[in-house]
Amino acid sequence: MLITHIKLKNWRNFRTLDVPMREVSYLLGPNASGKSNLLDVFRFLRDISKPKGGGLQTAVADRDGITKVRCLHARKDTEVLVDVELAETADGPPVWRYVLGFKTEGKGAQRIVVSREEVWHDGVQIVMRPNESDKADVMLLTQTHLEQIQTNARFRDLVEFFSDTTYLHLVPQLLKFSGKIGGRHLEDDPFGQGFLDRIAKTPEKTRTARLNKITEALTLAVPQFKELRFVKDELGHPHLEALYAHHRPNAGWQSEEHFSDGTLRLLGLLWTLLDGNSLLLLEEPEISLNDAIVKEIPLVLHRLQRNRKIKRQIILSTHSEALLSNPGIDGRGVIVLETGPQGSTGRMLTEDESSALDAGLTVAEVVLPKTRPTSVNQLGLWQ
Amino acid sequence: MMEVALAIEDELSKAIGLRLLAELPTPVTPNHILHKGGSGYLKSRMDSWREMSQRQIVFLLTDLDRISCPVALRADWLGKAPQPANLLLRIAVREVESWVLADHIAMRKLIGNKGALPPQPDDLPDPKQHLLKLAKLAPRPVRQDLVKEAGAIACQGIGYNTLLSHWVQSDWSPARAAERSPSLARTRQRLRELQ
Repeated sequence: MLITHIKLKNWRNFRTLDVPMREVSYLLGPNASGKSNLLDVFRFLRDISKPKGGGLQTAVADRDGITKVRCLHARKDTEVLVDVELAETADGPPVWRYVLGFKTEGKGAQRIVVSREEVWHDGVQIVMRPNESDKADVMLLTQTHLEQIQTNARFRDLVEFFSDTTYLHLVPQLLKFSGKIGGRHLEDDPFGQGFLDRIAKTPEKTRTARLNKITEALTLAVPQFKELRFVKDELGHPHLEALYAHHRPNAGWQSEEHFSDGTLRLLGLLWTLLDGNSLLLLEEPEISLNDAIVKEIPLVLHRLQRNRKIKRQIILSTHSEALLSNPGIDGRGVIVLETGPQGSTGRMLTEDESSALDAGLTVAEVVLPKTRPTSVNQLGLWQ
Repeated sequence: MMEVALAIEDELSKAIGLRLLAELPTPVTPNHILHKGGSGYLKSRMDSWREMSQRQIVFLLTDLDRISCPVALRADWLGKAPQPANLLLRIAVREVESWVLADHIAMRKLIGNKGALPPQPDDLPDPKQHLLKLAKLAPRPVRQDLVKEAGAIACQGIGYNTLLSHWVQSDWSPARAAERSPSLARTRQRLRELQ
């Protein structure tokens, strides 16, 4: 199953957004155009749906309250609205539609209340809120039906789809210096601090199979890279260790704190790709990686989709010319975010852009230049 | 032999250029591989290639595409100035895909037994489209790499460059391909003359 359409109202820097999505969707846009904010919608739905500690109130509070979630440009209409459609294939009819609107109560404790919640299955509406019970007991509106097992029985598939969403933005330094930083881990570990624990928790057979597969890739991508293994130190802490061909024969294994940032990023990316079937959100997968590796990312993602029974949807944000330089990237999966005085908007490719791609040009050539701010060339004159 | 710089249009030309240099009696690994996508870049850097060719060999590989004949392209790119001896401008008629199609044995290995292979690929008006048409008959994994998904806004499959480049390196034989492609045969000949 995959998300085939998303509509937003007043979500962060989007006053409105209405775009289709595909098996692999590429989000393009200048800095601060809302790429991460768009990815955050799916994390938000996950945070509401997750079985442990989920819920609308927490999801909003974790984002520093509704004033941070709601678009600054929302004036008269202050409702935040998320509307997603899901289908079995990108071009298939919607199987599910979930609509969630919420706002502050407008009085008293200013709680966040559901202003609208709808669930549609195969075109039939199965949830419509506020309903009679909600009117009788307004407290009910502080929770969505998504987060309650008593009320979500009829759309559990949808709940699981949302709650299984994976987000990855592995920050190598957080992993390398985790001991020194100490720091608390964020829930769901978006920045990969607990990446090693995640590997440790994987059953040994699966772990070994995955690491072997990753070793194959790293041998191709990282010069001199030879072998990768998983070990636990005397204190029982998990580590990854690598062996490089150019070291002295007895130079021994190097543990992850000595890996390059790029090696760690690539490792994290590959592990995540192999781990699970859920919606995967990738924030700028190109960071720290050599262009030659980045260039292969679309094909790796595509092949991964293809060889699986259950297709996995991937939504990624990128600035990378290399990543978008593959002429095989399907223009239908490209979403361009643009900023204006009224916040950000998003669009699909125009007809002109599409025909340029059909003619053999790449997204990097046709679309990426348009995401560069017009004044940016003057940045170099800054002093 | 002097150092060789390879300047090409795209990934596939790069694989082919490297293969042609590697099969020379004394195999050559280029000291520069220059490409930025498209023939516009190659043409726009003509002055740089000229200058570089004072010191080393510059092997420029481009597609003829829709231009009427190699002579016209050569005149357009080089102008009236004499061509420096070490600047080797070679033109695939009409695209490097015709060189790809010219090795029937390797092609069969890639796409299987379905579809007729062109006896004289240099005569094809659009070799890439021809290759893509043949690729539609290939076994699924190959087809999915080479051909775009139905309805997709793209000109080729997402694995086109990567798969074909790999195949050029491992299976494609310049010698066999040159038997069917005069433009490739001439290029091989000229490269040999440099050594």
